Amino acid sequence: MSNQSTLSVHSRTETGTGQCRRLRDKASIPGVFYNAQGANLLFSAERTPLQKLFNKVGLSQVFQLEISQDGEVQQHPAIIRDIQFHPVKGAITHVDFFGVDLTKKINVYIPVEVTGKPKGVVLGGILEIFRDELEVVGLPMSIPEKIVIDVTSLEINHNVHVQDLKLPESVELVFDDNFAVVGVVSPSASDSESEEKEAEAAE
Amino acid sequence: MLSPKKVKFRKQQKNRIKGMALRGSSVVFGDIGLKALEPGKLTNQQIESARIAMMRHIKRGGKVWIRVFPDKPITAKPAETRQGKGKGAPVGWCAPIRRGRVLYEIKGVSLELASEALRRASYKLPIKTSIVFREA
Repeated sequence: MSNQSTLSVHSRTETGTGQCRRLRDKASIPGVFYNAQGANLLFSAERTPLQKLFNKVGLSQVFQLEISQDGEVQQHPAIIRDIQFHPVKGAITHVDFFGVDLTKKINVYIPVEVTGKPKGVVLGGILEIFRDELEVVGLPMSIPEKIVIDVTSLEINHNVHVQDLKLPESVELVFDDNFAVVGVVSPSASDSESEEKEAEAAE
Repeated sequence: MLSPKKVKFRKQQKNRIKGMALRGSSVVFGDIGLKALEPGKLTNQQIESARIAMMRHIKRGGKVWIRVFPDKPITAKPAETRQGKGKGAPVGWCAPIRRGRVLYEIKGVSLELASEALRRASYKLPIKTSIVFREA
């Protein structure tokens, strides 16, 4: 929900596998910036500030992107639309930034966070989080970082459904069916125990 | 143990495992996973053994995903047999693993417990692995 984060990048003209590989060797990450108006700009970003930015804003929060091109600096509010990682090392290998219009609604996925210990868990139930992230639509600056669900009052075989969740006024959840997001299931319903017994039997 | 229900051909060539896993290289179902750092072949016994090691440590609660499937037949010739006379008989199944592949994922237990379970599982496998977390 903050516009505090800023990332400075340099536009680039080099394209292709070899050029991008050479950029990565110099601790720069190749990326592309685009928006709904048709802008399409290639850039390279420093690895460490980019990693810090990703840890802070994730894939849903707006930040200020400064692109320096031919001595001029352009500023765009943007979100991280896509990010690619090295399969083994886990380092960022490419990033997509999407330029947002602060007056138009956008669709993003935001993570779900659960707080509290449910009553049902105290009685022996198992807390299950059915959805890790939910799709929301809203103005870029009012989209929350995460959806916090308090599950303290949840009993065994009770669920929190998507319709029960409360969000800021200008943000709406996107869903067709009223599915369960979090629930407490009875231990007998959980198949993990039966799997364990099966494993013992197999031995 | 894991094995295919039906296959089109009983025997396959051995082949070499090259490159990195371009798919299945990130944690998508659970919160924490075990990633292969080198290529190798995991037999269905090894996959099952690692799973049992994990489940015994977790005890109850939580969910485990096995992200690999042994669908490649292994053949062997009987002991004290002369060379020749064709390829040996199928004796088991294995999963060819490229480096970077996520092998197991866990969700629903504390990260400390899951991490220890994965560490125990890693001792059952013939390749180097590391514990990885879900991105963002």
